[in-house]
Amino acid sequence: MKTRQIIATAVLAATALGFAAAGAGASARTPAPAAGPGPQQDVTMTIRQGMPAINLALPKFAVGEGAQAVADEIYGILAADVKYSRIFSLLPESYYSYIRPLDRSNIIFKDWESINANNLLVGSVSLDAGGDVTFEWKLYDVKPGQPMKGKSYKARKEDLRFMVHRAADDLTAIWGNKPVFATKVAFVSNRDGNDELYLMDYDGAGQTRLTFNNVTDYSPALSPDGKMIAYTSYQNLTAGLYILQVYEGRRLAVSLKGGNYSPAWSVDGKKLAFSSSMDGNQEIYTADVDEDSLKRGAFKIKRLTFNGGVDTSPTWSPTGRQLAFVSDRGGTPQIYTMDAEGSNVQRVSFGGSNWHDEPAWSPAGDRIVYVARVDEVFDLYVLDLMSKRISKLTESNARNESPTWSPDGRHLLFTSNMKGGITQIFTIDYDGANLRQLTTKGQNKFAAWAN
Amino acid sequence: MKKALGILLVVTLAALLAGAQDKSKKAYELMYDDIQQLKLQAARLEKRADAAADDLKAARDLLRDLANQFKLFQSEQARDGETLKGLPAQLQVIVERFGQLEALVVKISEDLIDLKSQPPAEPAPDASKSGDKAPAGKKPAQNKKEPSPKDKPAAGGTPVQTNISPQDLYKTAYADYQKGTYELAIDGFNTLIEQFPSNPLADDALYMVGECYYSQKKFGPAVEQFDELIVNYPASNKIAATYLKKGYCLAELKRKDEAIAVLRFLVSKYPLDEEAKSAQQKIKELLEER
Repeated sequence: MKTRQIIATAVLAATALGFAAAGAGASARTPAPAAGPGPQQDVTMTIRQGMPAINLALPKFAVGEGAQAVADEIYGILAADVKYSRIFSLLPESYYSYIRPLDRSNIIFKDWESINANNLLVGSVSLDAGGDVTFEWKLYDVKPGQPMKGKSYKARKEDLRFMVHRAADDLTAIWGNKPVFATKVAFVSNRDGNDELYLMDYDGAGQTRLTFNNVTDYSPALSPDGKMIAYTSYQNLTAGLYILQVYEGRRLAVSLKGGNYSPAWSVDGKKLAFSSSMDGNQEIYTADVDEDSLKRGAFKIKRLTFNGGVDTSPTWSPTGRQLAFVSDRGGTPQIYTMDAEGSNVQRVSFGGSNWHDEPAWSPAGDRIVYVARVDEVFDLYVLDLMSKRISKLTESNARNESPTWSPDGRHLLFTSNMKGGITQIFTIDYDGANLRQLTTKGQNKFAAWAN
Repeated sequence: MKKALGILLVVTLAALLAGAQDKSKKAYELMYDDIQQLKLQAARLEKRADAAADDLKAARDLLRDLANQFKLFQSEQARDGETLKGLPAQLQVIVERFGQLEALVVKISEDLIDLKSQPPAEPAPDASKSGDKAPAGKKPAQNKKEPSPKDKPAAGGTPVQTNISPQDLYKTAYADYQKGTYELAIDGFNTLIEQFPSNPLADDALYMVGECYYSQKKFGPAVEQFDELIVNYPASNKIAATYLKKGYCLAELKRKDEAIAVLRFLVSKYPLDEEAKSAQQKIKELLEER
């Protein structure tokens, strides 16, 4: 029964296979000042809001025999990742015609500086007899003409996308960014009949079905390591909370009493917060998830809220020491924060709307994105926790819901019916730029990025 | 003879007629009188009936009022019964809060006396002391928005310190806490407590120092902070949370009996706070562990 219902996908199982990551000429791992005032101050380069992106020159790669098609594919994927990153901005290809063509043995950095390039990526692609692809890149800082970092990857052809995403992650890691491109997104789709769980790449590629049953599977939460999905499933007509171990294809029940909704993983992956009516009223609970509990399939559950109001939609702060959640204890649904033990409850939403829902704490910890309803229009808003300032993220006279942050906090996914009234998953940047639709088949919702 | 007979007849007839006329008039008069009497009587009765009806209406109104009042009384009594049940706890809370207020008043008056007794001497040493403890110049740098205006020139000598309001100090330190840079946060909160011990944010800052230690799993130092809060700010709105956290810390330190004692104290002293429910859950958990 279980094995029939849940099938781990082959696409995902191919993750760590076949990668030979050699630091070809790696240098200057983190180009940052070495001495910080305190041990707790991580000094990495961070790109702040409004700071111009780094101009990256990405000339075509050197191509080995018979590898042109593969090289073009790699170039396309990498260029798309770099564009999406908000760290780099790609120089227009037309600029390259103004200067002498790239000579790999003798790079004339003055030329590249003259077309305003800050960084230059020199890559090469080759294909070996067994059909494996080798991709090498080296990044240069143009002004001093110094190499910054380089890396080499080898993968089977079918893992090409994943390999290039890994390369893009390594590239942006130079600038202190968390991996984004090789991460996965869980979501719910009814494209094959009823609501089932699916998994896809961050860019919407490789959409794969995970659950096969005839009941509704709902509101997934992908664990930070991407190996587990907590979700609500209506087996036996009750909304039970389950954990799906994606690669083992194993399903574990966490809580079956009452209605259990909106699970959220802590950043360390050891705690699962969720909303449940197991004691009557809808309250916030946590379940401890560790090796032992996963083995036994029994989870220690602790109640955090004891309020007459309805408490739902918990989300963890990146430190795991706080939770934001929705409660109607004040009369209308508003967003509150509390610490991980349930004490020190504070209301944080004070907007024009009296209906707030689905908060998601940003990975940097400084913002909370949430849904607010104003006159039957649902839009995403971002609350800056320090300044308490609120900014509107979406504007489309539709239902924009279920926001989830990218691991680096520069992007969000959300559900919207803005195009033709059918709910689909969209991506948008933290500042409202680069809106793009990721799904088209059936109705798709509840995107959950592992972060 | 015939004539005499006729006259007699006429006379008697006339007499008869006259008699009859007299009699009928009397009856009419009598009837009239009777009617008049009856009318009077009817009017009197009517008046009396009206009066009786009025009386009846008044009586009915009175009765209705009474019934209403009774109902009201009954419901009030029921409600009283309900509230009466919660009264002891509420009273205790009120007495408690009153005690806290009293303590606060005493403290304020003491501060006032202190202030009056040594007006000019205090600011200088205080400022230099806090200046020494300022953490690596981070806070001043972040709050340089208003470098020249001295809002409170009496409060301190060095302009760098006076520029930071307790609210800004708290905000910055809280942001550090949310980022997980706990040492910085502790420095910030401690600066606030040292510079503005009487500020309404001081107890919150102290609670947050404890919470920062707790977040680092430094449960011993956390207990010290929570104890300090309990002693120095008994009127704090964070007091129930403080007891709860102290209990959690003690449990983590494997001082189970102390933990249970603190949590039980919390339950008995602040039964209406949500923290009491969390405490009950923790007590149960600790007892089951044994």
